[in-house]
Amino acid sequence: MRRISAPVRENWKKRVEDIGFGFHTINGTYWDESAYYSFTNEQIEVLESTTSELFDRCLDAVQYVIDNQLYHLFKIAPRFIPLIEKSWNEEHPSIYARFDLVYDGVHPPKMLEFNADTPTSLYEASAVQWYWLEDVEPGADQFNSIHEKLTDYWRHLKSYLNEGKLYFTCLNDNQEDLTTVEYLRDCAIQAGLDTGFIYLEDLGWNSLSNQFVDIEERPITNIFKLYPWEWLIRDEFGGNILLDRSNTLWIEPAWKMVLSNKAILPILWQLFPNHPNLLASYFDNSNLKYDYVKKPILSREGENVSIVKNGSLIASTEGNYGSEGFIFQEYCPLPQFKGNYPVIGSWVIGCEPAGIGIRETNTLITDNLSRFIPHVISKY
Amino acid sequence: MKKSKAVKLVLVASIAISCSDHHPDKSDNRLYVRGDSASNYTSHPSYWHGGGYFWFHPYGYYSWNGGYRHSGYESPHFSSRASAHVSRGGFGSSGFRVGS
Repeated sequence: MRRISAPVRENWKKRVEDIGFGFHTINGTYWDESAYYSFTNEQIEVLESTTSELFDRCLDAVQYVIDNQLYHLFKIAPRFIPLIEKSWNEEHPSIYARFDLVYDGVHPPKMLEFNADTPTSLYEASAVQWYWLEDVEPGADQFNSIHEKLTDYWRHLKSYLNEGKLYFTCLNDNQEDLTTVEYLRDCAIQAGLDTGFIYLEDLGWNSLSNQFVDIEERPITNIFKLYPWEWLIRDEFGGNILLDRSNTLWIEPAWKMVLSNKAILPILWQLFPNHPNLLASYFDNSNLKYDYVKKPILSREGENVSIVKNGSLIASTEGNYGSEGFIFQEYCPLPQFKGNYPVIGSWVIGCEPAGIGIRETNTLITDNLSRFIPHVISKY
Repeated sequence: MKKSKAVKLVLVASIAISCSDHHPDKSDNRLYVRGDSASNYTSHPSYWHGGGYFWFHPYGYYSWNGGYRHSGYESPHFSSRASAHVSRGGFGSSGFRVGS
């Protein structure tokens, strides 16, 4: 695994905008092609098999949480437990998820966390870095079959859907979220699904028929939402999900409430202690006295994270999370490449590893200012 | 080995990147909801499946006469006279950005 500096394409902004990528610059550079990471085939195989292994273990962990009714550790409101269990027992499908991994090309990858419910940076990983590769090194290879797998998986999911359109929704006024959702919808359309879009704020609730409705007040029976479950059930309409006469199929499914919560990390460690791809994690720091990372069980974009080394706080971020509690994870420093710290985002589409996207920072904690760096598989 | 050639066949172009904020505007009993909404919900060209040509256009597109049209949706039914038993706005209050 190497970080290689590279000249940016002279017309790079136009090139990425031409393919529908509008948020290449967010508070500075977001899409950064001034460097790329190069992997060997063997390293890619390691990332692929690790992702597959971790996904299987995560599914084991969900079953364990359900079997042992451990929802209190996740601070999940009891009235939503039947919804979670129904979605799990009926195998409501998941379309995508992303593991964040520490990997230096030498040691086994370690799972930092699992973005199981609302992962973003999908379009960058699937299409933008692919077009970059076509421009700068045509004929070269990349760990990236995200696009085909998304299309194939939507096609596969046809039989799981209820009658009616598959709607897609996200928050209004956010370019990044809209791009992610529209890209997913693009893939669904190519898979032959009948789709619609509605902003989350426009979703209607018909209190006469007890159904969610679209703009024309037609019942919604299938919906992909780019909005976290913990927010969904907290909102005013959250309780209506339990009353919904249409039994709307929500994608991602409600069982992702378990996997997207960082309380899953201590559960995984308890189930699979010393697993080579897991970091020791606990609900308190008594086992990790001097070196640990403290993370809120519910948080986004690296907010409210603290790193303690040798008993001293060496890095921390601010934010609005933490009221539900924290977990403590063994500190595993990110590899450093000339002052840059990459995190590997390894995508799962359906149940299969599908590719990677790399986020890079100059700090120890990957936050919303991190850059997206493309990658290649080296020929040598 | 891991190549993703299909991407090239299906994602052809999206021109504009603006994400301007158009506030709802009532006219002729219709409520026009933002200009930068998603693609072919109502008045938008269909995807052309037959020729293998697809158009990824999350923010809008240039029409045949060169003018730019924000993607969006409008509906004669989504108005201030909508059914009394349908309420909206019950989702979306817990955050403004999802990124993770």
